[in-house]
Amino acid sequence: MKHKNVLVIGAGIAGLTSALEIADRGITVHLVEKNSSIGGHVQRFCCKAVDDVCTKCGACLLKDRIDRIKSHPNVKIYPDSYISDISKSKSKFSIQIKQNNKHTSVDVNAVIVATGFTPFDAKMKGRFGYGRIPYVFTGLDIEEHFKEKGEFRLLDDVPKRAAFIQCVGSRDEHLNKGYCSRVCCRYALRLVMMLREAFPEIKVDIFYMDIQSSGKEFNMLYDQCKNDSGIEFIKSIPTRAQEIPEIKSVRVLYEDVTKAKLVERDYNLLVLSIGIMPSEDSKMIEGLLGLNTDEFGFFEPVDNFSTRTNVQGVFLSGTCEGPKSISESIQHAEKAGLDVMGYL
Amino acid sequence: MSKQIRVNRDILIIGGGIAGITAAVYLGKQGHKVTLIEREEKLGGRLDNLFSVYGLDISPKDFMWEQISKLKAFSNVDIFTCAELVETERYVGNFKSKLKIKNSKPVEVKHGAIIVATGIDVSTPKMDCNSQGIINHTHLEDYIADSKIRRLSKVVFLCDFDSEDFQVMALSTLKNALLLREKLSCEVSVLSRNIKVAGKKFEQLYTTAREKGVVFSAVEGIDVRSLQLICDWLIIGENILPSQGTEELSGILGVERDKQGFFQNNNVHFMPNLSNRKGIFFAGACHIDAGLNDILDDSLTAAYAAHNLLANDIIEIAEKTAEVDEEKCALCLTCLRSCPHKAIDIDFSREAGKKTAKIIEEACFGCGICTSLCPSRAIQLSGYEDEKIVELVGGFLDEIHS
Repeated sequence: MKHKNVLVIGAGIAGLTSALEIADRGITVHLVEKNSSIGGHVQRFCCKAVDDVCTKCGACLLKDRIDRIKSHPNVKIYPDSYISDISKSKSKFSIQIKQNNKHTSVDVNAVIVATGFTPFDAKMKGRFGYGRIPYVFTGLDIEEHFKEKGEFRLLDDVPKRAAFIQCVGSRDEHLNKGYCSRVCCRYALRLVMMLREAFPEIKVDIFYMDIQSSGKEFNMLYDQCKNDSGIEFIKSIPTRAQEIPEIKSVRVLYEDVTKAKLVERDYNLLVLSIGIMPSEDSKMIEGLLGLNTDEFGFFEPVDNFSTRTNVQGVFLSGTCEGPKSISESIQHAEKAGLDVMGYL
Repeated sequence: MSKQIRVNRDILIIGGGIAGITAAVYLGKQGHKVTLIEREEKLGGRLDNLFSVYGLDISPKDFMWEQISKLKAFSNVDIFTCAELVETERYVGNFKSKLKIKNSKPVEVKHGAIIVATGIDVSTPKMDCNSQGIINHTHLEDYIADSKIRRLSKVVFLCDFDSEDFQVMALSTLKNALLLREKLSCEVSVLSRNIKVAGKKFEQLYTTAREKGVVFSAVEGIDVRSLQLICDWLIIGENILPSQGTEELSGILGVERDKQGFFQNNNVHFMPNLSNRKGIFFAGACHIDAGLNDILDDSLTAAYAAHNLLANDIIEIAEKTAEVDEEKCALCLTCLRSCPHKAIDIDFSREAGKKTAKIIEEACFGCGICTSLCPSRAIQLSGYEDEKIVELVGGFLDEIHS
């Protein structure tokens, strides 16, 4: 077999997994990443163990992959880089990689798109006051904070009441986001348990549409939350949040659907469980490669059962194809690696 | 130079449903000799009994038939129906298994890896009343397939009855509700606590169902047993259970299960398809709760992992494995009992009275559990020998003291 080259766009958990899968088979991988460090979004996620017991979020699965890829003889990493041009001739792609001001040109036999996602910008849901009210955070903020500090110190005082609002930027037709982001229920319940562990006195309300409790043993975590007297599930999405500076709180207005009444509640901490959006770079990649996307902007595979795209030799890996959890991304990325190996 | 052992490239697949067949087709194509065993008389599993599946344009029966004919075209795939696994000996790369086959002599196979694809079972929740109008999804699929449906005016789907429905059952509810609505134009309502849409294009299915007139009602906080429902059919979502025999099989193979009894210990480091033993992989519904789409992905990655392991006829032994000091070992069997990876055996090659424990290097994960438990300190993990650790810790302590 003649020596083959593959381009992987994006060095998040999916890109890394696909790259390793292929590089281990003796194929040279060119890994292009727009940021200066590899690892993508997962490096911002914290370990979500509760009471020192692993809750299987998968955030720890990244480090091993980073270590392996950095010392892999078949992988060439291009940090701080963009793809400036792609041209296809027969079964070959010639790629122009722009790294700072340096241009590199490589020829590859296949391309894996692993451009990942962009977290939903909570400011687009202005009525929840993100960015305006100091007690409103996103789930990602909390994760990053835990990751950095190892404990919760976002507020001056110990929070007594907290609320989570689910589906912020998911399942929302006003924003043309008619899809479920799959991960928010899981991370929110884990974060709720972490807060309950950090502050045993805290009461947490969870505003939700439907809890997506699928996944291994996840129903058990959900049951545990339901049986916890400090956690209340409220089937309603609040309409607005306003700051009450005198009591350092945020007042949330929602409809109690069981009583058909409007209710107001005050919280010291409001967490918005933001969802997954197509990556901001996917438009550019779409243009360069001519890929099909679905109505929400995620890349679309040719059929339900593969990672192949409408362009021969181009494959999808991870959340650029649709929302996925870390372990689901890894699996999808392995499948992409498999499809590429079959193609070469 | 790391050590290597020669391995057998053959693969045993347990379960002839869609997961097992998908894996077998892939491995057959890669040139592995595959032995596929199925407990029932024919291949196909649960998918073969369904009328339709979301995400599949053709009927599941046709899809199954296509896959089975692909499988049967391979000369390197042996299929045994009415067959069960009785015993598996030895370790990754060189397993030896005994199969019990109905009305035939037992068969012994040698293989390098195992894929477990035993699927699921379902059970209908107990209702207080008995009525012909109360049916489950399995019945419903049969009725639709046989076109035995009389005129109906109102159908109610009851979800999350005993506990939260599994994703696959919730998906079946959405699909069947839409199907009945479109086919019979009857009134269809769905009572559930949570609509589960966490999958590719599931939300679209939910939206379409609502647009076509299926009525969804939340029953959170309401005891559904106290409701009075007037309808022709009450369709209850079944509980999903580990397939019958899962417990025995996990005993035979020495693989762990999760707290709900399904295969695969809930450990992120084993995701997606690994087990606590090297060379044994899981595929399909026996370890994940997902729609067909994800089941196919999962089976392929399991098959790929097995292929990857055996592709080169050899496997390299990791540098960090445990080692037994034969002088010190008293054969107390603490290590043998505590090894979660079944990587310790008794060295029978030695004469009586001098037998010791033996680490199976190819099966060892290098976790260090035996090392720390051995009462006579006869086991060391290479790279983490006691002296080295003492030296490291000692230097660290000196630093603190100074």
